[in-house]
Amino acid sequence: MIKVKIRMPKWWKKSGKSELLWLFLILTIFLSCSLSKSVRMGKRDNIYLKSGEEYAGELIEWRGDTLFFRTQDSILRFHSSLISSIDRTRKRKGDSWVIKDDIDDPLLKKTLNQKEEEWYQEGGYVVLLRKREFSLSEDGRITEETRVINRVLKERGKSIANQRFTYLSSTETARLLFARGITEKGDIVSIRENAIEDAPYFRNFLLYNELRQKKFAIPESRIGSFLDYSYSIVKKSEPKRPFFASLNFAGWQPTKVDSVILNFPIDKKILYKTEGLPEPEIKRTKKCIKYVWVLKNEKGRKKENLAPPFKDIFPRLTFADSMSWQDVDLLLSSSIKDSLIYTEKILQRLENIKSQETSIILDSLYNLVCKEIRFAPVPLSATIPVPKTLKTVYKTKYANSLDKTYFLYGLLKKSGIQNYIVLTRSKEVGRFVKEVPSPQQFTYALLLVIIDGDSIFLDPREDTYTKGYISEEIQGEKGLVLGTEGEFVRIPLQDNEKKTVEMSVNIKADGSCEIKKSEELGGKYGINFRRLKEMKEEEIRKRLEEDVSLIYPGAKLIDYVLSPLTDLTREVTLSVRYRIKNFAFLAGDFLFVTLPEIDYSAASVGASERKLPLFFNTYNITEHRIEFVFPDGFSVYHIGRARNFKKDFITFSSEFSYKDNKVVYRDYFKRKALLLDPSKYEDYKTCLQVMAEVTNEIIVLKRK
Amino acid sequence: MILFVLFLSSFVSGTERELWKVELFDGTSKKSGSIEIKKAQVFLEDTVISMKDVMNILFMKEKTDEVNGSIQEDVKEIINEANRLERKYPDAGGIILIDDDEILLRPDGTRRYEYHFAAMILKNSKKRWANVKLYFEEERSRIKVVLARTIKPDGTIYNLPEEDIKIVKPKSGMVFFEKGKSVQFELPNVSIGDIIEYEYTEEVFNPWNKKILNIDHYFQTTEPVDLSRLMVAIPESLSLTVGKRNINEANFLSVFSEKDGYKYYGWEMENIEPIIREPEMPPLGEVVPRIEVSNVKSWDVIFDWYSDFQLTRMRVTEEIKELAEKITEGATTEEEKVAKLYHFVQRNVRYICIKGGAASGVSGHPAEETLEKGYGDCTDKAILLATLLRAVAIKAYPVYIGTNDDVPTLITEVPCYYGNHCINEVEVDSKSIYLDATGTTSRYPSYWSADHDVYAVNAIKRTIEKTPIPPPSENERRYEYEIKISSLDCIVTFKAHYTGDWEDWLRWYWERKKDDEIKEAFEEMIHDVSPYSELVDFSLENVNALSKPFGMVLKYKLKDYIKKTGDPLLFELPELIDRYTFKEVCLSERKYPLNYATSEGIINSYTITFPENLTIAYLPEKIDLSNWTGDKELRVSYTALYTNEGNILNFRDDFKRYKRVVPASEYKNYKEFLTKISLFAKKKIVFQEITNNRPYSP
Repeated sequence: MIKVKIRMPKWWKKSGKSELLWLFLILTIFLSCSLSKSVRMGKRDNIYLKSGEEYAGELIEWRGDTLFFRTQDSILRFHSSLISSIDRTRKRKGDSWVIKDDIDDPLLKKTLNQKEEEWYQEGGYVVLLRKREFSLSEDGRITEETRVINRVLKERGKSIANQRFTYLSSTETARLLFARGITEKGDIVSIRENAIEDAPYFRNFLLYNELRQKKFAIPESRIGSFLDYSYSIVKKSEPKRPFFASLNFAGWQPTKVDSVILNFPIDKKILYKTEGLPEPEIKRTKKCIKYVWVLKNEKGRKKENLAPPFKDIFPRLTFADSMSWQDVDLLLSSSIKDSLIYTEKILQRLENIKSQETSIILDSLYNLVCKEIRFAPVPLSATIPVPKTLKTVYKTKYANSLDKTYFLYGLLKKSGIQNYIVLTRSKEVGRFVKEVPSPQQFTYALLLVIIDGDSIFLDPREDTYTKGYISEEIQGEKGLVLGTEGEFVRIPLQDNEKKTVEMSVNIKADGSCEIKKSEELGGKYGINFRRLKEMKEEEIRKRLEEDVSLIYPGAKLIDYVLSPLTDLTREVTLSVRYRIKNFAFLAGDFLFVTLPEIDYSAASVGASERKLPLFFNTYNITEHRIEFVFPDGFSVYHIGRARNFKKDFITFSSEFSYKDNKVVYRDYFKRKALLLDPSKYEDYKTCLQVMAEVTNEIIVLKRK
Repeated sequence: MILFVLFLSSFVSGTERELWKVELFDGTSKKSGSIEIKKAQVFLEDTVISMKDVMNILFMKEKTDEVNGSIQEDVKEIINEANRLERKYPDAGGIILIDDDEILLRPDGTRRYEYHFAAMILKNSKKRWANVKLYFEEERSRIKVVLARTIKPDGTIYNLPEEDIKIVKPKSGMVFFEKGKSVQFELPNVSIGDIIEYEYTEEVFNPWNKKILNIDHYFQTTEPVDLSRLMVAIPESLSLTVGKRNINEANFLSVFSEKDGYKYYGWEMENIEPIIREPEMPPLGEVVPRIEVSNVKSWDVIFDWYSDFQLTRMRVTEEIKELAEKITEGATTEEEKVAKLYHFVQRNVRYICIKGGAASGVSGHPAEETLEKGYGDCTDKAILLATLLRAVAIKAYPVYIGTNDDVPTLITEVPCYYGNHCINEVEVDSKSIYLDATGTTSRYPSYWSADHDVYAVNAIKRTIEKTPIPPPSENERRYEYEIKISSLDCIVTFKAHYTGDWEDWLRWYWERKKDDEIKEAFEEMIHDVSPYSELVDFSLENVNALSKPFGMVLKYKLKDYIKKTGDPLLFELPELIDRYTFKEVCLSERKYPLNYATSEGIINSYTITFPENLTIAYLPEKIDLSNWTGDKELRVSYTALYTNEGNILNFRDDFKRYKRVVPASEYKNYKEFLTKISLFAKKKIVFQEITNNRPYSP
C-alpha cells in the first residue's frame, strides 16, 4: 500500500515550531476533510483483483503497467497483471453532494425543507413529489422524464428504495439520471453503478427481449430518509407504436403532489381521457401546447381483498396520438399480411390433414398450436405489435398470445377456414379506454373463427385448454377484430366455469366411513387439474393422497380414476375412493357426522365495510350432492336445515333430505357477476355467511 | 483409459491472447491489448475514450483458432437408447440421456470445464430444458458452445446457428444485483419426442482462487438418468479429497489413472431411477448419490482465504466504535449489548445483495461501507454485526452455513466452498450462540429456523460445528382463551404470544399493515372461526419494538356458535383443530425422511364459562402421548386435559416436538401418532340443557 505523502513547503525549516505545528494541524485537517469528502464522493468505483480481493474508491490513473486507485485511507498501486476488472459509477447530477448544504437543486431543497404534515404519518412512506413530463418534438421523438421524491416513514416503507422501470430497447433509450438517499441528519449518499441492473424483462424468452428492465437500489433507506431519483426514456418515432401513455395518480401510500405534464407541438393532435382527475391546466405558446394535471394531498388507500386491478382503483390518465380505431386496425392489419409466409415444413403439416372435414381440420390445427407451441406470457404491449413470422414461431416453438394466435390464423387461412385475429386487453391490467384508440391498449390476442355459419372464439394459449375455452383474464372484455375497419366484439364469458361434485358416504357403526367421490371440472377447474398431466403417475397419486389427507385426519386414499388429461375435447373428471377411520364422532348413543369436503368460509368477507368493488375474472358455479348411507341400528335424529339466498348476481341454496337410512345433502352456488359495486358487498357477504353455516352443519344419528 | 484419452484430446486448442474489454455506458464495448488512463481519458490500442463514458474494464483471455470438440456419438444410437428408456419410463417428463461433467485443473490453477447434456423430451414442461442459460463472468472465464442441436425421432438434426447464441445480462430478483452475464440459447424446433443435446466448454482463466478446486456432483434428479458421469483431472503433484454420500457401490463405477503429468479420476452411474418428490423432504443433495471433491486436504486453506477477507472487512473504525457504544449505552450485561446490536443491524440495514468479486461473494463488503449505504446481504450484515460487537469487546465472527431447507449436509472431510448463507457466532457470557441478522424481525436470541442444526464454518476460529436445535419453548405459540357462553353465542378474549420463527414472521406480517388494514385482517380471521362474528376490540403488542415480545389480544363475539342438534349442544374449541392439522403426514408411506426446519411448541389454554342451565354431557378424555425415535429419544410429546368445576370448563394442552428429522423407517408410527392428536383436537364438547332437573345422560 502507498500512503499519501504530504510535501512540506521550504519555509518549514525557517519558521518556529509551535506556529508551524498549528499550521500543520490546520493543513492536515483541511487535507483530510477534502480527501475524505473527495474520497467519499469519488468512492464509487470498484476494483477486483485476481486474488479475490476488491476495493471501493476511485480510479485515478493507469500508467504503463501500474494502476492507481484511491480508497478512503490511501492511494493503492496495482500491477495490471493483478487486476481482474474495474466497475465505475457514472457521474450523475448531484453526485458531488455530501451534505444537505451542498444541494443546488431548488426543487429538492424546497421539498426537504417542507414541514412534516400529520395527515400522511400513517403511511409506510409518503410520495412528496412525483413529476412525469412528456415532451413530443416535431421529429416524432418523445422524451419522458420522471422525478420522484419519497420519504420513508415506517419500517414497512423502506422497500420503496427498490425501484424499477421498463423500456422497449428497440425504440427507446433509458437513463437513470440520479438516485440518492438523504438521511434525516442531512447526509447524502448517491447510488453506485453496482446497484443498478439493466436486463431483458422476459429472460426466458429471447425472442421477446426488447422489453428491458432497469432496476436500482437507492442507498440510505431508513426511517426519516428522503429518497430522490429521476430517470428519462427517449423514444424514437415508430409507426407501429405511436405515442401512448396510461398513468395512475397516487397509490396505496399517501401522496402529497403527483403531476403529469404533456408538451406537444401546436399542430399535433392528442386525445386524452381522465378518470378521477380534474381537467388539465392548458398553456399555449406560439409553437407548443402544455397540459398539466396535478393531484395533491391524497391520503392513500386501505388494501382490500378481491380488489380490482391497481389501474382501476386510482385516478387514471390516458393519452395518445389522435387516431381512430379504424386507423389502429389498418396499422396492425398491414403487418399481418407481411408476415404470412409458409415454409415447406408448415405446408407439409397442412398437407397431412387437408382431406379431412373442416371441423376436424380445425380441431387438429387448434391442438397442434396448443400443444406444440409453448405459451410465452409476454403481453402485446411489451413488444412492437408485429407478429413474428410463421417460420420463426415454428422454429422456436414458443410464442406470446399474438404470435400463437397469428400462427393458428395462418394455418387456418391456408386450410380455407375463415378467421380473424381479435386484439383485446387483460382485465388484470385495468380497464380498456375506448376513447383513446391506440394499439398499445391491447395485451392479448385470440381468434374469431367462422365455421359452418357459426362464429366461435379460439384461444390457443395452453395445452390444458379445452377447445373453446377462453382465458379468464379476457373473458367478457371487448376485442378489436382486425381487418373489419375497427369493429369491436364482446368476448364471451364462459358458462362452464363449473365444478360438480357427487359423493356417497358409507358410514359404519364404529364411526369409520368409505367415501366415493366423482368430480366434473369445467373451465378453470379443469385447466388447473389438467396441469397434472405433466406429472408422473406416482406423483399424481401422491398429490391426490395429500388432498385426501387434508379432508380429515387419517383419511386414506384407496384408488382413483382420472379422465385422460391430454384430451382437450372434454372436461376433466376425477373419481376418488377414500376411507376415514374415525370420521363420525360417537358420544353415547349419538353419532355425529360432519359434511366431508364442505369447507365454505366467510373469512374473505370478514370486513364490516368495504370501499372498493369486488373483482372476479370469471363467473363461478359449484354444485354438491352427498348421499350418506348409515349403519343399521341407527336412525336419523337431526339433520341440517335448508338455506336459500338469491340475488340477481349471486345464488346459494342447500338442503337436506332423508329417507330410510339415507340422508342426501345438496347445494348449489352461482355467481354471475365480475365486478360488484361496494353497495352490493352486504349481499355478497350475507351469501358467503350463509354458505359458511353449512360447514358447521352436523347430521346426528341416534342408536335405535 | 479410453475415456481419459478422449477427455485430454478435446483440449487441443489455438493460441490465447490477453486483452482488456472496455464496456461503455451507452451499451457498446471495445477491446484492446493495452490500456492507459490519464487526465480522464482512456487510451486504447486504436482509440481514445472519455473516462466518463466508461462503465467497466474487464480482463479477458480470448482464444484464436479454437478447434471445436467433436462429438463421436452415433445419432442412431442415441435415438435407440432414448426409445428404450421411453418404454421403461412412459410417464416421465423427460429422460436425461447424458449428464457428463469433465474438469481439468492445470498446474497454474486455471481450469477447464466441459459439460455434455442430452435428453429426450416427453412432456411439455420439460421443453424448458431446451432453454439454456450459462452464467459466467467475462473477466473470469469464457464459454464456448461446442454443440447444440435437436434430434428428431427420424434422425433429422437441427443445429443451432451460432448467431442464435446470445450473451445477455440476466435479470435477477428485485433485491439481487449480480456482476456476470449469461450465455443463453434456445434449442430449435423442439417437440415432444425429440432429443436435445448440447455441449459447452468453460475456460476459467481467472478462478476465484487458483489454489482451490471444488466440485459437487449429483448423479440423480427428478427424472430418469441414463448416464451420469464426473471426471476430474489434476496435476500429479496434487491429490483429490473425495467425499461420497448415498452411493451404492454395486452400481457405481470408479476409475483412476495417471498419465502425462496428470491424475485422472472418474465416477459413473447408469440407469438411475427418478426421485419422486415428497412433501417436506430434505434438500435433493441430501438424498441423491453425490460426490464432492476438492484438491485441498485441509480446511486451513479455506479458513485462511475466508478469514483474510473477513478480517479486513471487520475494521473497528472510530465511527463504528462510537456507534456501537451509543447503541449499547445503558446495557448492563453482555447479553443486553448483543441484543441491542443484533436488533440495530436488522432494522438499519435493509436487504440488498450486490456481489462483485470473490471477496464480496464470500465475505461481503467492509462494515463501514455497509453502514454508509444502509443496505447489504447476509454476508454484509454478518460482517457489520461482528464488527460492532467487537467494538464493544464481545467476540463475534461471521460463519458460513448451508440452510437446512436448501443445502445438503456438509461433507466435512472435503474442504470446500460451503454454504449459501452467512450468520454470526457470538461468544456471550462464556457460551457461544448463533444469530442471524439478515431479516428485520428476529428478537434476540431467536434466529431463522433454516439455520438450525447445520454445520457452521467459522474461518477465524477455524472450527466447524453444528448449530443447535433450540428447545421447543424457543419456537413456541402460546394461546389463551377466555370464553363466556351465553345462549348460543360466545364472547371470546384471546391472547397469543410467540417465540422463534412464529414471532418473527407474525411481527413482519403485522408491521406491513396500516391500522385500518389490521382491523380488517382480524375481522377476516374471526370470520374464519365462525361466519357471524363481531370484532369487539384488538391490540398488537410491540409490533415495532423488536426488543420486546410480540403479542396479540382480541376480543370478539361468536354468534350462533354453539351448534344445536336437538338435545345435544355441540361446542368446538375455536381454532384448536387448525393448529393440529399436520399436512406433512399426508402420505401413507415415505421413502425419504421428513424434514422440519426446527423444533416446535404449542400451548393452548381455554377457560370456558357456560350458563348454569347447561350441563356437560360429554367431554373427551385426557390424552398423554409420546413418540420416540429409534434411538429411544423423545421426539414428540402431547398432553391434553379437560377439567370441570361447576360451570367452568378448562382445557389445557401442551405439544412439544424436539427433533427436526423423522427417518422414513419411523414415519408410519409418527404419522399415526400425529393423527391421534388431530382426531383428539376434532372432538367436540357436548352440552345439554338441564330440563326438569334431569340432565341428559349419554
